[in-house]
Amino acid sequence: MKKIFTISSFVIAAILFVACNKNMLDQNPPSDIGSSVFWKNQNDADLALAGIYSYFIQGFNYTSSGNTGQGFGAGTSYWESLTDNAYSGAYSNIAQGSITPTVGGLQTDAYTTSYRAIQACNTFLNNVGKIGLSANSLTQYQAEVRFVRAYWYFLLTQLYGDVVLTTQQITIDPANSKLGRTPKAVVIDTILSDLSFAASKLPNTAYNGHAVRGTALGYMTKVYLAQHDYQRAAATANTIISEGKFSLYTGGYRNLFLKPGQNNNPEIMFSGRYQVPTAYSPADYLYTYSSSFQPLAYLVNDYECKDGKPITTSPLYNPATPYANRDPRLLASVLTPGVLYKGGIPFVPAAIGATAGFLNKKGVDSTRATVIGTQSDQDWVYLRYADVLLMYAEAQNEIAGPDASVYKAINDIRARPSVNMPPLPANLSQADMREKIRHERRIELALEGQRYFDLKRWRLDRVIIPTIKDPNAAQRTFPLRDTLWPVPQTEIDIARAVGNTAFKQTPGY
Amino acid sequence: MYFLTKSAPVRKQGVAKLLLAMKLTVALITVALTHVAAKSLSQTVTLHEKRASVQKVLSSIEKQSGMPLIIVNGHSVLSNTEPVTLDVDGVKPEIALNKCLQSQPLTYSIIAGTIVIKRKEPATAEAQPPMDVRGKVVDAKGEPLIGVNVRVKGTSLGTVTDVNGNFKIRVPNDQAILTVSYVGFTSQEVAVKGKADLTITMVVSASNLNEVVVVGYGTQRKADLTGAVATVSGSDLNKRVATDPAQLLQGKLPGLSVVQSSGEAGNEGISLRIRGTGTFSSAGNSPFVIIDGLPGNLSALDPQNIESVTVLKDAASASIYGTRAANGVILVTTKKGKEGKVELSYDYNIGVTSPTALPQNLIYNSVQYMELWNQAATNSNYPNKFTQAQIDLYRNPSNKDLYPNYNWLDAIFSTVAVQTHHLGITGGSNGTTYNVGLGYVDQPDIMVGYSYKKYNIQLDLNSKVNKWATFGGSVTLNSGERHYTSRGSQDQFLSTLSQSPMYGPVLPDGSGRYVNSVFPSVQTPNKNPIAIARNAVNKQNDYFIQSSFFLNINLAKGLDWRTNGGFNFDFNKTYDFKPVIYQYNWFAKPGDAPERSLDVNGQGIDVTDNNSFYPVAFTQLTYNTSFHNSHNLKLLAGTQVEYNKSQSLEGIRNLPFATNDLQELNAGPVASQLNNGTTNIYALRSYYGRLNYDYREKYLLEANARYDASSRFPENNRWAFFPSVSLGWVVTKERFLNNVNWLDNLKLRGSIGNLGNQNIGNYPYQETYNFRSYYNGNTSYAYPFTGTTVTSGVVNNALSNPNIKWETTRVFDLGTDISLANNRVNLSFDWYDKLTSDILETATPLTPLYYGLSAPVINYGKMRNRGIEIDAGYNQRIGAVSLSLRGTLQANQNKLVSYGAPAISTSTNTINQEGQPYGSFYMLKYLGIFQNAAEVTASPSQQYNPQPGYMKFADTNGDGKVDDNDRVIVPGAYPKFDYSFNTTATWKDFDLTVFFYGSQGQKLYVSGWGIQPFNQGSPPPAEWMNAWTPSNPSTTLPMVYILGQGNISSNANTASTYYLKDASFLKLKNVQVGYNLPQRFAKYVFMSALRIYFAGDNLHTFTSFPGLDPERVASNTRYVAHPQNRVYSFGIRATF
Repeated sequence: MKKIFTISSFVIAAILFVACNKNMLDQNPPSDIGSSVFWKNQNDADLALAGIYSYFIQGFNYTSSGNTGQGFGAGTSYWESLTDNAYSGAYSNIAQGSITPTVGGLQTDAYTTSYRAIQACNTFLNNVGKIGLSANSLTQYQAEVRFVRAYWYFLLTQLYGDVVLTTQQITIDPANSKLGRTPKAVVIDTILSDLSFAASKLPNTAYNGHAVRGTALGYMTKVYLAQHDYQRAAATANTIISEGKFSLYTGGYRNLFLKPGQNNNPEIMFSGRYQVPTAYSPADYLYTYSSSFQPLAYLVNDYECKDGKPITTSPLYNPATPYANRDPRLLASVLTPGVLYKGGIPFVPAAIGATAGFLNKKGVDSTRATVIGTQSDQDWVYLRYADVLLMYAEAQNEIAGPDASVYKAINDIRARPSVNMPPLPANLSQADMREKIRHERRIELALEGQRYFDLKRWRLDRVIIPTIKDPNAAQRTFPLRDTLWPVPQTEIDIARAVGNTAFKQTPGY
Repeated sequence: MYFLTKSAPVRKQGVAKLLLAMKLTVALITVALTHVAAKSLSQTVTLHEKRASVQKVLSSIEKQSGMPLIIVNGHSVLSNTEPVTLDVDGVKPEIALNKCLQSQPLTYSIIAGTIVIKRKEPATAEAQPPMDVRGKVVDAKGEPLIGVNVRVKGTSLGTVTDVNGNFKIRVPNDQAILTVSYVGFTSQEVAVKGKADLTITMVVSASNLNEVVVVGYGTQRKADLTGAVATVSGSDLNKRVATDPAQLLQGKLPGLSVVQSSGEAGNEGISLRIRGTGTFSSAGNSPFVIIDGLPGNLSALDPQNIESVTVLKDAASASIYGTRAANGVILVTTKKGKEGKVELSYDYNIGVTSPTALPQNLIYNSVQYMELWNQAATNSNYPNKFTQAQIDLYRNPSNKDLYPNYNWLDAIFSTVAVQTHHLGITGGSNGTTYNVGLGYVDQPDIMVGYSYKKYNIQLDLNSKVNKWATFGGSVTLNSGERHYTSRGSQDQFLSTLSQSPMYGPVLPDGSGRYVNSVFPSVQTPNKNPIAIARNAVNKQNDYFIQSSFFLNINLAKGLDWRTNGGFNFDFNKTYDFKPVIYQYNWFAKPGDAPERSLDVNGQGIDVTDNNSFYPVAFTQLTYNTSFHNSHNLKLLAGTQVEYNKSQSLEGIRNLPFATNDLQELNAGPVASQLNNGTTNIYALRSYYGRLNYDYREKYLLEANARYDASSRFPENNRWAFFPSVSLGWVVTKERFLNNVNWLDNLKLRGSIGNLGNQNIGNYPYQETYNFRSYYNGNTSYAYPFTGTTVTSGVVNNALSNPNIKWETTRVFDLGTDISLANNRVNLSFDWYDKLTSDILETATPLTPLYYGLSAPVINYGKMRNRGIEIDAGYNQRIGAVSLSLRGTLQANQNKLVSYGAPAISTSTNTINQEGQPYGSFYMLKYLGIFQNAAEVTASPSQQYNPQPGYMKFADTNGDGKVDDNDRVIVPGAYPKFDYSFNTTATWKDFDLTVFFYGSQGQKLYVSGWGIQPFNQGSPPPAEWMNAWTPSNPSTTLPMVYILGQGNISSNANTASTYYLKDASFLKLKNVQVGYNLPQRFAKYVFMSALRIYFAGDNLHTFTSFPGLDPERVASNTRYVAHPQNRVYSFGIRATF
């Protein structure tokens, strides 16, 4: 009897044990949000929006001196290594004209990062309507996200020309894998439509960390200019100028790129923001300790002397003290030999194998880089008012020649405190003014990642790049096909694997 | 049956018996008279008996043959007989009788159609007097064997050994022969030869059919197995000494390949593969490990506590584990207690450990190094060269400490002593037995900065509560502390190799400052490995508990109800402290500024707690029955639940600490504090069952099935069914082999079944938004809009696949087991075909980058592994020497059956292409070195503007130019076969074990530091002094270059067969010489046994692989990895 009792209690216990947890097999991720419970309130929209903006600073944050994230956020300078402004061993193959579908680096990162950000935008736009925000609030979210989407499509289409254009959230539907590359003109139309929506719906205020109307208009100007649509470019830039929400920063040219001067800075129109210890960049020590990015003498020699004349003609230039009496923007942007860095020791290029002889200083506080692995939080300035003035001058000069507004735009930049360069000579021809504007643009925006796209727009890449000899003695070349990059080889392989015959490699590769 | 009793006992029935006997005498006479008639009546006999009494068998023979049977001297004659196992079909009665009485002290004669059984006549022994023989029976390790059967051959005399292995027996004469037999050991015959004191060493039988093997959810007699199962005993494993039991499995179990990726202490990276790489999915290829019935961690065990290890290779044996079994199952049983008085044992081993191999002949002469560098720089068109003045400083050094020829390998490698201790206590009484093992391992590493310490407690308890209930369990507690550097041992090795010989790790001025570089204008080396090893060592503490408890209740005859439950708990804490350490120029003066600070992967500290809790339980019924004496049936049915919750908590302060002396979180700067935490959960529920049936142990059938559900799959695809069936035929039990004496056992086996795989991450079918609130692995979704506060961010960054289902592996297996020559020769052979389909793969090759989303997990592709396994053993005793030989061989062929478009990996130079092995090498074919300009011009155009002295590659597609389209598939991704030999010889109190292990046909792609010249300044092997120059037209080495600089580097660094090296090897893995102190001496030191031994591990490698040890897991294309260890050890084992 006792045995039967004991056994039956075991049986009951075992049944309970196995049956106790009926829902045991329904497990949801405890540390991530399931899509079924997301998009319920405004906080969800804010979370997703932060995720979208995070792509402006992604990648370039690795704590070692590795090469990850170059080209984005505080690593944007690396784009200059594809031009006559700088050299990077990491991208010498692209710079020297041997770009291939498998070359990797920027060629792959630009493609994948852009599409990651675009997909985040599309997901946002597809779902934000579910929340039930007020109409006003909803349009503002949409406007901000459409601006971001336009930014990344613009980067894509400048580099790759025709690109796959999707404005809907991608699902597992196999039809999505059969898309072909959309003609660049259509992509540009979409970009402009996003940007004008953003410009019309975003608040018309100074920049505060979120894109504002001025940000959208600034990028619209860039798009028009890249299309050589000077009329619209000038008009759009003029709208920004006349609305008066932005102005040149008077607190010092170099401080535009260092943290204390960046909050509420009237010149900054868009930036990738950093904050230690959560969102930091390695800029200070990476640009200081490694020679992986070096400005070239071509750039350094292009800075005028204080009298506004080039070093070839200025009496102020002394080859023995080549960096004295120069445009102040030189020493604010380039670390020259002998200048103290790493907390107080003189910069000797050979000591770190900087064969070009210079290091980057823009957005870099090399004195803070006393040890490997310091964290930097200066914002990366993507768009600033000086750029808008330069774009206006460029467009207006093409439409009307060097009128007073063109002179004013350039001279305002040259005359600002801490730069104090003399105004441009009067009565320049349109062609001379074009040269002056291009020169001013190179100097003012040096190492900010603009010049590669400027050369592309001016169609000077094919002219200037083949004249460059790299510090490793290699002569650069620029085959014309390089004006558009190949998409990563994996994209072609995947298209083949899924039978996407509509998707083709960029011509020439 | 009649008993003829000469002197009938006069008791109660005495008279009756006497009367009966008289009747029988009459009957006998009558029978004798009718002899002729009876003969014609004689019938054949068919008998299928299993351990039946002689009496029963004889009466069956009597019945079937129709011949009366008489036993002379009655009952007492049968009292010393052994049970009879007999399988005869339609034979003459004589044959049946022969077989029945073969090893009995009986003989028969057929007199006038009557069978007369009587005691065998004693041999011609009268002349010699009987004598007393004492002796002791021990195993190969000198441990006494209790309960060994000792018999005098040809007589009914016998005894068994006592608790100390001793026996005493009276033999009829001094020429008697003793037959010694014991379960699990080869029986042997020992001639007394007049000796009164014998020590008999028993040799473990390679294949004993009565051996019981642990199988899924139970045990089975080896004789009844139909699946492909390999097993090894703990005593066999522990012939070698290792800190991780997985190491010991190498070469012991055919079908299981064990590759140790490095000799790094506590992080050996042992890869276990059963029958090849079964899948390319993220679900992995590691077998499922079961410890005492429940899933567990093999590495957390102390090898000394292992009783046996079984590997389930085919679907038939493994499918009872359903979803977990796709890569096979390893079953581990821990040691149980032995009934009897307490036995205490102590094991100690000290192993002198050094690297098996290091890169050879690196140029650590400073002048040679600098001159070769300059030559390489010229070839590489690289401007940074050493000046003549710099070289001259070293040519005629004014101060040898300041201008050294420093060998950096000496700085980080050294010979160390590894110690292991084990204390075992075992005993039991009144149905309760216990076994306790206490282990300690102190394992310094041959690489400075690395070490491992492990404390282990193992408890086993079994108690028979009453007639129907048994309970017990085992618990393992393991505590390990590992020291290592945050980027790993390979990186330390690479950092070391990137240093040049002109300086040492610490400045020569005695200030203790760490060096950064010597001539920074020429080269800046990688991190200083000594500075890292002394200052930036990570510490990982792992506390692991695994437990298993069972209750077994015998509900009725043959019906058992067993419930087994337990949990694994793992708590793991890691400290990654990143100090600020300044590094200086080699010639720095006091007060000079540092050149840089040490790159330690950031600053501050990162402390991580990971824990996982994993409860599992099953409950099952088993029913055993036999009917009609020939049908044996075993049924099993059960259900199991599992739940796993793993959590992590991470605290970070990522700015420099005020002091490097305090290395806890709260000592770090508050301004930089970050934290992180996650939880992951999965659960499984299963039903399983098994049927075993055999007919007279001749025809065997087994069927298994498991019905599994996993939380990792969507509800509609959650459940899956994994059946298997296997058949066995014991041919030797057939009539036609009855008279074949040399063949003891021949069994044919075949099986087919399905296995599953579900190890694919926890929530792959659910669409989720991921938080990543700070930079971790280079990604963060948080964004500081205002520049003062950070907003959390989420991104849905991966496509989910709501339709995923189980990955299935179908295994077809044919095998045979053969025993010959009195079980001296044992052979096992298996052929298998393993096909994995619906492979759960992250669909990266099918997910366009323009999706902007990581690829989903999909069911995709098929992979096949086919192969054979052979296990052969031989045991023999030659005079005083007993010898045991064993060899194993496994060969496997991997093939991608279906995959879609080929996927090429340029980082590993491999391709996945249908019809080829997974991960086949894919690269250019190296042809030689261009010797002159004419040869360059004449050859198809090559990349990188080749000059004489460059490498030449083949234009395989014949389009006149060499480029990526000329890459070809090169075989060698996997070994063709692995093999091992094991010899054990015992002579008196000495024993010797020699173990070879080999692998044939695998190639490794090796490049970078240590093999290519000047990678981050790494000293090249000396052969580069003899590289190609116009005046020295080498055909094996191109012109010397600086890796990463110039066209020659691009040319020579092109992935090609030049870097593919044959990694075949044969290793003298282990040699051990042991001595067992005879008991008569041992007792003077209060021991019951004492063994001492000397052993060597990884003593020699026969290979053509250059320099380093070819035994490794190729995780990347780098040449160097933490070396394997060569160990010379001394050990002692004392039993009290």
